[in-house]
Amino acid sequence: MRAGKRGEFEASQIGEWSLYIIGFIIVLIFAGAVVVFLTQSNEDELCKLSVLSRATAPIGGAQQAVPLKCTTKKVCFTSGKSECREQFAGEKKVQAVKLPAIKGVDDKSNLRKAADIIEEVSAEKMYECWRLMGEGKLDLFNSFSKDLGLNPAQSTCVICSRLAIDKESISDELLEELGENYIDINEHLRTTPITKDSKMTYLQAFLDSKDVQGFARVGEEVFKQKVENDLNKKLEGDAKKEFERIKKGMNELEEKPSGAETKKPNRELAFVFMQIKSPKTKEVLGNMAQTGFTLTGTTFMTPVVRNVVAKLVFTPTGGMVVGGGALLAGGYGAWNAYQGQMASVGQCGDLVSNEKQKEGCSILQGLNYKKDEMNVLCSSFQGRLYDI
Amino acid sequence: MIYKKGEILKGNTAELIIAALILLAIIGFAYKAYTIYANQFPQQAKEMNRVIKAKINAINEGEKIKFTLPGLCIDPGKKGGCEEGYFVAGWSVSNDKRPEKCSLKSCICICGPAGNLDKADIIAICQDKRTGFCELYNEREIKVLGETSVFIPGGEGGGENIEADVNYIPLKSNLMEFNVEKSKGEIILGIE
Repeated sequence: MRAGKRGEFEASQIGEWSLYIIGFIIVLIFAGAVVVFLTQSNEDELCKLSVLSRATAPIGGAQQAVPLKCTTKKVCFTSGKSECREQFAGEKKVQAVKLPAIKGVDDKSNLRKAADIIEEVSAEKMYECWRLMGEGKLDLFNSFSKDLGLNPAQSTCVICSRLAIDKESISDELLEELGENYIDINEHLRTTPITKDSKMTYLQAFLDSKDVQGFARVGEEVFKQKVENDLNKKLEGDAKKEFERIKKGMNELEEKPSGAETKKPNRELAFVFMQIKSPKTKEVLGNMAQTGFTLTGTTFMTPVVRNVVAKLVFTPTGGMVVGGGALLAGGYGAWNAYQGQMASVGQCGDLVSNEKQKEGCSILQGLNYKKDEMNVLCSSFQGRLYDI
Repeated sequence: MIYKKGEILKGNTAELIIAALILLAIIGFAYKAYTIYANQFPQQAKEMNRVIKAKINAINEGEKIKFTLPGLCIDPGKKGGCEEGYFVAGWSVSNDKRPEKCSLKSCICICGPAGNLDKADIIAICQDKRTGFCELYNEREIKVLGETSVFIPGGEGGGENIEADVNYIPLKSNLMEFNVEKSKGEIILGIE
């Protein structure tokens, strides 16, 4: 009631104003807390926050204005003082992981210990990346142009971590032995709990299900054929071009694996998170289920049989070919053999976005850290590769 | 209902102030979002410069290393892929035909965009504070192994500089593998 006595009017106004001021102060304190959090929090928290901010940006185009504050982690496996100079010269925050000094290919005990360490660090980094990127369920790479309906289906990637083996610590011969006969990342993911106290294995954590006991046997050729047939019928325009670009790149690498010219084992790999918009995800999931993928809900994992070129094909609007595990040709050399047996984890379904629901596929993949291989999977990269 | 002059404002001052504040906040957010988007090239170029310099500083005389850099992609969703026309170029201190911003030192610059890189006035593009970002080096000689741009004054692209051949490395949108070598006081930058 505004038409009260003079004093009454003023009292109600003062009360109203007090509320506004208190509200304003609360908002200021909240904003201040966010700023303090952003400046003081560690890299992982910052990355996670920026991922969430992107997925919930009020308008799609604003996603690009929210920088992805995720910096590639660097790990150097070394048994000495040397810290992968060849790979990380001049770079900061390189995590040195100590391996036992291996005397030769007959030093089975130390080879086993080194393999265990490499398996565990790889699994940790893989799981860390999957968690930070929102388990593949968040829409991270929208853009101004996409809002205007101009989007060609293009794959965008974040390099979560780079893992390198120090040249002075482990010779090419030992590396070959480790990769071929000791490291078994799939088995590690299947049997090792994510933390000492946890009863959940990495495999179960990725798939978010305690019922999963092992990888399914994948009928990859059947899957490939089935999806390629679908793609040929359904794809057109930019989507078809993107599909053909990836397919061509994969075929070229299959014929001429990277590293083949130098005949040296690749000493570095990267865990790469890729996302692509894909309105046909139900078909993808259907095809996966029919061909025996380890699939729970909308998340899947693929193991790869050694020395087998595994090709999996997604069907987005932009067709997408992804090699689960040995993405590109069985690989050359020892580290490649390790990379070649690496499981991949993915998710296809509705991506959480502040806009209308968008379907897409995300995949986390271990790849040789070579531009030719990574560029086949990714049209562009986001996040910070260097912390310099 | 007819209000007297100022009557509408009387009981709604607080609401109006709040509305104005909210409007200001929205405009502020939109402006901030725009500036972040508009500054993506400068940010990416400066970052690239920092990485190249760190790698160069990390190697010893006679040493050669490779390193990977993500190319430039301002808007990943753009039709036809990311933007083209960005490049890396470098000049020795002994070279008279170089951007003025390199002052008395050698420099490596990330610049762009340019329409036709083969004939563009690369020196002018790198000199412009909006399109060129340079890092200075103490080494006397810098050699960039890439493609060559031949700029002819008055020809396609126009410009004020005298005729100049400049080596440049065009930047792609995805990963690129660079190699850098220090040899006899000279920095050699190339791509795989």
